[in-house]
Amino acid sequence: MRSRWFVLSLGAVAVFLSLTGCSKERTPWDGIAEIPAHVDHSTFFEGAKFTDGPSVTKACMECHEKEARDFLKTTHWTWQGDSVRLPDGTIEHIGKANLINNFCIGIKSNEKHCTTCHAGYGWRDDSFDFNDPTRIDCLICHDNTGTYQKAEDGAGEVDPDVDLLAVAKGVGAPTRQNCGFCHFRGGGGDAVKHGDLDGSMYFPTERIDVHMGRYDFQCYYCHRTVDHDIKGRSMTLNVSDENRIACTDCHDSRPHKLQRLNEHTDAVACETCHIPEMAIDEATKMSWDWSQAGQDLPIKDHHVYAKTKGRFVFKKHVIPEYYWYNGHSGRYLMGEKINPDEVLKLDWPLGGYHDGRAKIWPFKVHRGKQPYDTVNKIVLVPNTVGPQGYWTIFDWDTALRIGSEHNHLPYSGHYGWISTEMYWPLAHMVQPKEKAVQCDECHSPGGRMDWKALGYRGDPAFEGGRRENGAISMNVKENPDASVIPSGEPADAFEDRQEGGK
Amino acid sequence: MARRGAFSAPGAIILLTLLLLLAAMPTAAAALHPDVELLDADGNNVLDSGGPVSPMQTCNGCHDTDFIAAHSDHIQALDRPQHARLAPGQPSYAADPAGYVRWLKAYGTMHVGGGDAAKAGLDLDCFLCHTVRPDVEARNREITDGRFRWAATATLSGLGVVEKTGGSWQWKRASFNEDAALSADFLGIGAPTSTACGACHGTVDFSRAPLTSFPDPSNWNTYLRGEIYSPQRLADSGMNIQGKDHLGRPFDVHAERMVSCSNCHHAQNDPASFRSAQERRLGRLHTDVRRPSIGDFLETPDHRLARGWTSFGAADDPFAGSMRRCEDCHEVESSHTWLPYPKLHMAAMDCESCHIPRVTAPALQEADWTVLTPERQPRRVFRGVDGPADSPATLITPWRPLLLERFEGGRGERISPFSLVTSWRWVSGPKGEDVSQEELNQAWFEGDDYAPSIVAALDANQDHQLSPDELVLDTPTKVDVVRKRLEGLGLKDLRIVGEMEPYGLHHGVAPGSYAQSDCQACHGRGSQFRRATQVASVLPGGVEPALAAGSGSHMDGHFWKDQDGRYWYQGEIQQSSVYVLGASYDPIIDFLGKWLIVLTLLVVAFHALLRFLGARRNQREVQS
Repeated sequence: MRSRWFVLSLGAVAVFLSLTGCSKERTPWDGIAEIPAHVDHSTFFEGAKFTDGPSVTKACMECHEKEARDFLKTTHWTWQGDSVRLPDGTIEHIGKANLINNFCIGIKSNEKHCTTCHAGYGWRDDSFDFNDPTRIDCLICHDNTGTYQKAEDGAGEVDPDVDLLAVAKGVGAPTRQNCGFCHFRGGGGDAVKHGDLDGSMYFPTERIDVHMGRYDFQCYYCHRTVDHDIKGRSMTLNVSDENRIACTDCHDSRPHKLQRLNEHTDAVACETCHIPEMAIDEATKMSWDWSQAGQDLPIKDHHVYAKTKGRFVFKKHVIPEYYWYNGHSGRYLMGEKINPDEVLKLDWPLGGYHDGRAKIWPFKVHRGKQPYDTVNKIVLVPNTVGPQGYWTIFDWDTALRIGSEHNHLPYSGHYGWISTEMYWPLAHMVQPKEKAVQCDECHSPGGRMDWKALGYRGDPAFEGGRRENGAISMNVKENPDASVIPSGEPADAFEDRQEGGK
Repeated sequence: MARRGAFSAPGAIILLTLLLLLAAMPTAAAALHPDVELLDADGNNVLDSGGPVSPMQTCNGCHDTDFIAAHSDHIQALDRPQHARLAPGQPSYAADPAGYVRWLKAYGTMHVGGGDAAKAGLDLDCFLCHTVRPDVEARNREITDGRFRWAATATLSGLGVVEKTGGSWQWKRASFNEDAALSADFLGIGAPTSTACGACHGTVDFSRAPLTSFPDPSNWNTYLRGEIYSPQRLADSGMNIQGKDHLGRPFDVHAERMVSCSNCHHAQNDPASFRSAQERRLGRLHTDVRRPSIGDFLETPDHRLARGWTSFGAADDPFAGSMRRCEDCHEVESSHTWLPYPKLHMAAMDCESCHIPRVTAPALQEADWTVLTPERQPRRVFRGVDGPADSPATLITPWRPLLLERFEGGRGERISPFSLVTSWRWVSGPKGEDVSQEELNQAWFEGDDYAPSIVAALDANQDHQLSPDELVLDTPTKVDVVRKRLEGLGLKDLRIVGEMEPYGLHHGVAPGSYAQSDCQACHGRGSQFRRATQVASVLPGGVEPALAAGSGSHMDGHFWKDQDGRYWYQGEIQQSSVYVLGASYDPIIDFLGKWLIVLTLLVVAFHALLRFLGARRNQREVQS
């Protein structure tokens, strides 16, 4: 009898402790997905002879059929993401496949060059079969040998010198090298497109990025992946805030010991303070003037001028520009009419001073000058690759005519140059608190922030913030500055409609 | 231009509100200020007269400059006896037979003008502190060249309104408006910025360029204390600080949080910052809400700036303790929940004791004016460096301040951190008057070279040169040689005196995460109250220095000289009024404690014995 009471008492104490103070405190590491144990593939594929990429893929699919089918639905395969309403009223999925940027401008007619970064084999033109799983390039993401290469201008096909059997035996979870092959070199070279992603991150120190340098994070630690759908999205290719990664996936939303710092988190994104500068080791491209291309100038530095591409400005240690951003963005769509007298924003963050969901974010703003049709008032896509491409014959008229045909754009035969801007929110090159932006860097005359341009009366340290001045409404539908997609429709309404349509 | 006394009472309320905002944003103050007509000493527009500008005349239109001159520490500081000696050990200017003008040419760059200096032509220079881009270097050149009257004019050259051509200053009429005046916006008139204060007081740097700072006597606070006021992180600076990669803290957390000098060191009657000295507050009131009117303040701003207890002679200073202190802004108990007995700690020690755990710039340790370098300067030794202090390659070794008790008026004696500076100098006569710089020069040099007799006595390696290592009077023979040279100038009763001056540390404050939070640092066996601090690398003439009078602090530990001739001080917590658990011991308490334990054991044993005996007796009775 006595022992029964003893056991019952022990049980009661255990339950009490588990319900009260003895539960484990949550840490940022809880936000990191559990890494599955790696299966060593070095003993597989005995006797196999891989002649090309698809032959490897077929071997992979013997065990990973489902994974291949899953992958066909992802943006890494389709290069298309959010759906938006086009100027003619139709709904289309937008993405790298059909958007214009101010780097290499557009992929159609230039596929064999651009799709070097496609996770597939043979995307040369519109005839590419996006339903054929054997065209998936598993190795570009899973090669752990470091020897895998794609052929130059080969539409994503494998470099013939690659030992495919050795690579297949050496597959594993994606490393920074795998992701970086494309994402560090976007726009045609290291650090060109992204100010916060470049080759310094293959083997980064803490000075480059605290997550990757101090803790050796691989990309997928944060870009958590379910059924090959990799979390995270680029604002330049999407307009909604679905599937985004946030610091708060792992960190508390008010993580600082100092209350004053925590009071910033309603209006200031973590990245604003913790990414004080971009292009730490590698200079990033800040502007690209296509109108200067085609000249035989005595400039040897390809970071300054290239006859094929025009004039560039590269910069290191760049302090970002700061804008409100609520996760939604606006996007110039192919075929939309433009006002050539104004700087054309190809993408831009939505949100403002009065938008309670918006926060001040750091951006790389890439400024370009690119061709447009002076009669039809639309931005054009040149054909740059190939025998008739601009990089071969340096004839803009031919390049724009071919490019327009491939992109189904009208071309009047008259072209000019329009100034454009692209906004790239920064999320990498995160610095620890010891290197974060300090108070005086924003709250002093001539500091980082143009408070009035952001909508404040003046420096909020002295004039008060949005709440003190009654400026914000958390209700997006009552809010004139709330996110709006390009068609002018409130983003929330659009999202609701999308939800209903699913 | 508004005339003096024109501030009306109703307008004062609006202005007061604006001033409160402007106190935080000094650059905006210019928007309220009328255009400024620059006047010369006779009250004529300088564009008409072509003469030097007189701030006393120019600013007097609205502000009572006579009142300001009569109520300004910056003017009177150098008239006070304790400041007659500009730097530790330096011969006082009172002892210089060449007089005040020579001194003013040498050191007037640190003087804002006015007072005694005004009699020599160096007018009070309001522009130096209250305009946005004072050209300090141009002003200094005028002073060192003895053109005192043009010093304030040179200050304005940074704005491009005047330039020096052909050796004379020319006003640029094109820079003035149609009323022959300058807009206040253009002048950037406002409360002094920290950078303006730093022009004389020490290294203040709000730029983003990597900060460097080398000891310079004109950089007073940095030279004597190693204090640097900058938001820049140590790791980002251009200074070769030991372990800097791990020093992610700013040089001063207040600079990082945009606190400017004038926020704490405000004008005594500034209604936006007014705070009566602790001694003058009524005991039952936290604060006196009554304020001078804004009109009164603008007309007669009291330039005796609020201050703490650092200055020598603070005990007799009616404004000592008038500045904002840590506890005026910081809620101590809620931010120190980890600290046992927070009230007890705060009552015994200044916050700086923990929040300035180490100083990250070199500071003067000793100034030996018994010898002269070829530049006619003293032999200087700096603490916190491993090599020549003026070399960027020298490793800066962050040093721990000396903790001493200091009298702080109504707050009693409190523990505070100090930089200890020791100096030696020659004095003569029964009153111990300083041997002047000129007399020292004559004793040590013949023309541009050292006197042969001095070289013969000090040249240990016989190379007919005096290296820095040889330049020290560390034997009686060397002392006698210099003494005889000085006696040859007619000086009598010559002797060397040494003085230790503890300079309080209040800038270079570290944020909480870098503050001293290791209890063992004070309460353990190696308590920093007992840590040995080097006073001097050598004792010139074997003279042991004494604590300077008027410091308000005391050094109750013991001194000793090690076998290398270095002189040390070790605190002795026993002599302190503070009992530090774990570090202090009291023989009586120790004696009582030991015997209380013995007595307790004896009583327990006796009690047990009685219980044992009682039990046996009871057992016997039961059996019987």
